[in-house]
Amino acid sequence: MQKYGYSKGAVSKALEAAIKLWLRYEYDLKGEEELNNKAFEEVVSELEAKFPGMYAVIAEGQLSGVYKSFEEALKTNVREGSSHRIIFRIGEKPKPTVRLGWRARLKPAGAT
Amino acid sequence: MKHDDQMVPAIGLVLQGMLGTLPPKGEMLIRVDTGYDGFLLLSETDYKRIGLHLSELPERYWPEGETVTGEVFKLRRALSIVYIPKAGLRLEGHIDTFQGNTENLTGLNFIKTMRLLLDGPGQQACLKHVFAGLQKVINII
Repeated sequence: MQKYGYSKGAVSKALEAAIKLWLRYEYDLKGEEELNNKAFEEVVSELEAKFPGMYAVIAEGQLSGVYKSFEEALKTNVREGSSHRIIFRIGEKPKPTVRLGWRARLKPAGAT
Repeated sequence: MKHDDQMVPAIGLVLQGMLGTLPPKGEMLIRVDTGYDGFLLLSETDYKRIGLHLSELPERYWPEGETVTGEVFKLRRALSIVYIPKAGLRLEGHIDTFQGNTENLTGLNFIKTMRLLLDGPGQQACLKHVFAGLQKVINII
């Protein structure tokens, strides 16, 4: 095995890297993030029918407002201690995949 | 556009988030990476520092990112405003990050509204931004 570069701990490092990648695949939404995303799913159809092209703000688990510009949406007050907020352009559906290129990469699992 | 300390083409930018700008004063050089086809990729630290978690897109619109080595994982994505002070330009776009990312990059989507002339020997470039039929040519070294 040594001929092919086997070293002590190689299998555990490979397992560690695989688990890290698996955990990285999905974000575990908690607290305000989860509430805001639930609120988004509840209101999105109505917003798309009534306010296409405008900007919506969802905070503290509810729709805070709909604005003509992104600047106006940014100016809405953020509650002190707030950990999350959603702002999106109504009806805009971004591309679901991104090619990350050469520079962006995951940290190596490290030497064995 | 300039080259950064590692001789890579970079653009001087200012990013606007809910909690302030990045950098707080002046501009920061962000590399141009045409292998990245998004708008702007920020390190996790910078993403949080300027409060992009307070203007995030719904999770439904967070994209999957794929590295050159084939790993696929979820990115977080927020809406933000980016300024190119030397060109007097303001752009609105999606800022991405992912767990463990330490790189800041501008991608193809960022430069799609511009014409960039790379001057290798001069280590500089001209930015030619086209909008509303008006051509604005700026050397922003």
